[in-house]
Amino acid sequence: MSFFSSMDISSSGLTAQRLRMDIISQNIANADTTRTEEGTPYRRKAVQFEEKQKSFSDVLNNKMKSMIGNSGDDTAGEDVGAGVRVSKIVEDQSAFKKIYDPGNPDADAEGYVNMPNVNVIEEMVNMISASRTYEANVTAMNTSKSMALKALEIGR
Amino acid sequence: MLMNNMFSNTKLLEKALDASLMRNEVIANNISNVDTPGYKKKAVRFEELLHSAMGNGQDLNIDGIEPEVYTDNANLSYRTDGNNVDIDVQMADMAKNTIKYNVLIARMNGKFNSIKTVLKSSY
Amino acid sequence: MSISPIGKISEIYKQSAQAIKGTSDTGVSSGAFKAIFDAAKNVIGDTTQLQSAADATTNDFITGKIDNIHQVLIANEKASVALQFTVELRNKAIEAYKEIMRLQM
Repeated sequence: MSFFSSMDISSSGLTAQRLRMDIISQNIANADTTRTEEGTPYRRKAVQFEEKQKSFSDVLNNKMKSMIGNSGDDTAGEDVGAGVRVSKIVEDQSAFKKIYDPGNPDADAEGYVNMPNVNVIEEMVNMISASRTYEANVTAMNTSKSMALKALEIGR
Repeated sequence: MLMNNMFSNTKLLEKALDASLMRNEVIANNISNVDTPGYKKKAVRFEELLHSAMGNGQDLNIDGIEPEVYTDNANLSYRTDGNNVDIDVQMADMAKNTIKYNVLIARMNGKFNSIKTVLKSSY
Repeated sequence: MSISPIGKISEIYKQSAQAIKGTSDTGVSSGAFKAIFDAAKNVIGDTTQLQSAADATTNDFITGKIDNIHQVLIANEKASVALQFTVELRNKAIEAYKEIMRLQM
């Protein structure tokens, strides 16, 4: 039960959404890249989120404190968790789009060019969602801060 | 003793403040995990515990009641990634929780001020 | 509920008034004085306990073991109110003593 860990949770959400925005921007910027360093067209990247768990040392400390009888964080229920983190950045394995463009230097024998599997409309929708979630996390952080400041008024 | 009698009324307020703070943390966790596949939203159970303890008709033993976190597996969501967090509901809950916290702080201040008023008055 | 702090405080004041009355009529009324003395000892003990609890909570907050702001502030407020109460009690006891000394002259 704490103010500062609420803020840590919100900031982990902000970091995760910002990373997602970076990946989306990279996808959009490379929507027409037919040749990367490996020679293949650019593959769309995506982030994978997972819930961050409290570190082992935190949980151990809390349990020990509650056993000694000091005020540990030991409640009957579960742990709150520590926010979100990006577990990995995966490449989208769906097929490349084929465009008929014989004049392109990357065209194969039949004149088809493999374009990156980036759908710009889909990326824009993802961008809006990431931005909205970012704002929600900012609101959560401000709320935690205002609660902490309100608590300072005890006894004033 | 004497002091505990003076401060016995504040214990319920303290527990409620702790529960409200825990609820804030849980909601922040839900909001940050709104895009995590398979994540189920969490919530804090405290008021129901109070109700059931008071309903028995005995005196309220506030020491035995602790707020607790539980996972809400209600699958009312239309999302396909297994996540059941509704961000608008979470934002509303956060606003309600903040107001509740502010009310509790004001009440706590009121209690302390009334004790101080008694102390300052002489006859 | 909120009557109880007022009730307990006025009880102690009543006892000290009774002690004054008892002294002027029949000499030292040890029962009432003992009651006041014991009450004062308990009050001082409770105050010390609350002060050290507030200090412990503040130290935990500083070292980062807990970061529960309202817990720290409430402990601090309780200790401060208890100290104020003890000081008031001491003042009233000294006033009562001075009354007694004046009466006997």
